[in-house]
Amino acid sequence: MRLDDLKEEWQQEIEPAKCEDHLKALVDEVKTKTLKIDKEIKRRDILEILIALLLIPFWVYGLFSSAGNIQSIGLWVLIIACLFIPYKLIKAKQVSPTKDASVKGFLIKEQEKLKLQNDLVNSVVWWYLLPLLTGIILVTLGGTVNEFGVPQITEQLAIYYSFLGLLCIAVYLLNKRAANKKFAPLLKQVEKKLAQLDD
Amino acid sequence: MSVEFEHVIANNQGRIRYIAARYCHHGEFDDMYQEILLQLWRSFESFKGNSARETWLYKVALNTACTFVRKSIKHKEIKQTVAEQFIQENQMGQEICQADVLNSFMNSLNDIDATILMMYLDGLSSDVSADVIGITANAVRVRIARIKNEFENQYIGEQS
Repeated sequence: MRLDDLKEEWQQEIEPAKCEDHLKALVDEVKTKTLKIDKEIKRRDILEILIALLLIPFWVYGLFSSAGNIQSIGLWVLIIACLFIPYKLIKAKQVSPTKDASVKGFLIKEQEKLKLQNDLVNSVVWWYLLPLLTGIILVTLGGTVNEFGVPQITEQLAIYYSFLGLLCIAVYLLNKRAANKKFAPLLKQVEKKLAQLDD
Repeated sequence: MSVEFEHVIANNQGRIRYIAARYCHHGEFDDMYQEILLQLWRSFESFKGNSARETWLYKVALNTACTFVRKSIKHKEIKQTVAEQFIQENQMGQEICQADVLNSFMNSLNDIDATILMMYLDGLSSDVSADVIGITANAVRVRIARIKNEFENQYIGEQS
């Protein structure tokens, strides 16, 4: 038996479907699902940006009634963070390979996208957690300064900072776990296929 | 456009099902099949006919299958063979000798070679396959020759 002998077998296997009603229902379901997913993605993207942008007027208002330099610096850090975080997220979403590209072209773009997302999640401390944490600490600490401009750390404040620190560690670990579970295997899968293309 | 899309899917359902079956893991055939349809529909809206419909369909289906995010990647590494799934669904009660051979050979190949073989059996030219995969037509021909050799080494003389 030669490989060409199996062409007929193959053609039979991929024969067009006979059951049109079932197919119509399936296509309708797909269309509804696509619409729903698109709406959800759009809503999530808008929400992410809106939350950050809506906080800016609040921080700006804080600047006018700031208790001192430390608090003002903290508010500026928060304003910059609220502009930088959505920018970083939007930039990462721009690398989106189209599905109708060639397999090789798609895989190269997908590899680039996955690396970017992986880096983004792994560096969440630098662009997300640290600016927010620094901003919050400076704002709250700035509110406790005495007449000489020296901050007074109370017991409650120390507990609050410890709680914030633990929260940041938890967020960091959860992101790291997500990167290891989601992006690493997918990246490996894409790299494996690219290697197969170069065989 | 909706009717046109249904028509495209009806004519190519076998191809899409085969690609989904080849790439999916155990118990995820339906999810992958639906994901391919979803991506085809998404892409169909912007498909301007710059390439042949068959080329477009193969590209979208393969690219979707290649990067399909499995629900639990680490627990589902037991790959269900195409022979197990596709034959069960489509060849019940029929003579499955040749299908069996074809599917077990397909499973012995890596994903890219299996894809090239799929397109070869489908009657697509080397140029079209090269366009789908993104390598040169010459590279496709070399791979087909290698696949043929491999097949003949494995199965020649087993059946007449």
